[in-house]
Amino acid sequence: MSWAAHQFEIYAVQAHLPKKMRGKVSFFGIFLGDFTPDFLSKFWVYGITIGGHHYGADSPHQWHRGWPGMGFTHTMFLGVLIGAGLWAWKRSRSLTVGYILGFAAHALTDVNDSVGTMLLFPFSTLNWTMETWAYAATKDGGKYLDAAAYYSSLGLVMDVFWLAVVLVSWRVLTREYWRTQIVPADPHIWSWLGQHLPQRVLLAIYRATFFYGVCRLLAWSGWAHVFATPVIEGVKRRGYPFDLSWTGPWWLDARSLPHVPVVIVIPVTLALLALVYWAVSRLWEPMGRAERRRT
Amino acid sequence: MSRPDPSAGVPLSAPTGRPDDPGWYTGWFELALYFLAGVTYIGFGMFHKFLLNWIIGPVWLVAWIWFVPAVIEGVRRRLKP
Repeated sequence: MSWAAHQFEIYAVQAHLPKKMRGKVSFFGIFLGDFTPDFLSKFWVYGITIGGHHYGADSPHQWHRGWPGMGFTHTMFLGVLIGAGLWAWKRSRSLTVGYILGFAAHALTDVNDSVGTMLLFPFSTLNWTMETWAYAATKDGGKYLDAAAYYSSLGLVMDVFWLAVVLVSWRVLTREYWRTQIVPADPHIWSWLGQHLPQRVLLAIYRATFFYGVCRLLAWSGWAHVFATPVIEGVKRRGYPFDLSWTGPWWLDARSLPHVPVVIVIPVTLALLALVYWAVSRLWEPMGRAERRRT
Repeated sequence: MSRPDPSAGVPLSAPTGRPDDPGWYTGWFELALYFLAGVTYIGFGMFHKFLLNWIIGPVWLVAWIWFVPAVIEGVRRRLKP
């Protein structure tokens, strides 16, 4: 799974919208789309311990990304289905397109860990994975081991990559960008919030997910490499060891599910990404006309 | 929302010019608030990991940006002769 990458990618999607969509795609839609897959599935992955009894998935990776399980929450099928539902309900292309783009960003980014996602669900329940780093959520290790493994592997590089993408597009975080591109796409929500909150707070709300991404990246990395004292192969260490090799880190068994050959994953993932952008781009004007007819 | 932004192009050393911000609230001050919010969140979060979640993280920032200037302004008003 990816960690802060999911926080950064919503700003990256926002910053790299097709020209005709700039200032017209709902940022809240992108956020909700990116947020949905883990919102629906993640809680039970780590579970909760009450009175010494653990309530959660017996096989977290199967639950999170597999079938049977909640793996369908990380498929484009569900993203398009919910997007269609949003369109039928609200007739808002801003929200619908934002939602689908955000959802696609999450589902496609998650092909990088060793479990991956079921990209072609429901036609195939095979997972698509690049095996870039080890999927490390386990019943015993919980969130801590997952974080330590992620921030000791190429997962850390993934987070830093997405952070760099946002920083290169730094204007997306400015007050001017928020005022001219974000607010016009969601005028009702922002003006309602503006009735109750000062403008500096509205801007902070917009930037808050980025802030959270940076902080969790630094906090978990700091803990994993400075303060944690794990015992690995019988040796007590200060900090988890880094391993930036493919499917690292070495000190953990990477979880996996039946999957397609790794070699076809990059081209198909990129093709799917292109298909999503092409589809929303083609639907943009017809959706706009339908929206105007309704109003 | 469609009015021109009074704060557009304002240097960091000047007051933001936004209607709800106090006169002493400059761009640098706001930047320092973001930085302090981040440092405190990371500091507390590293040792109390329950804080590192998608609700508390964003709320932490919003609370700093909302309440710190409001508290300072309240104290300034009270201290004014």
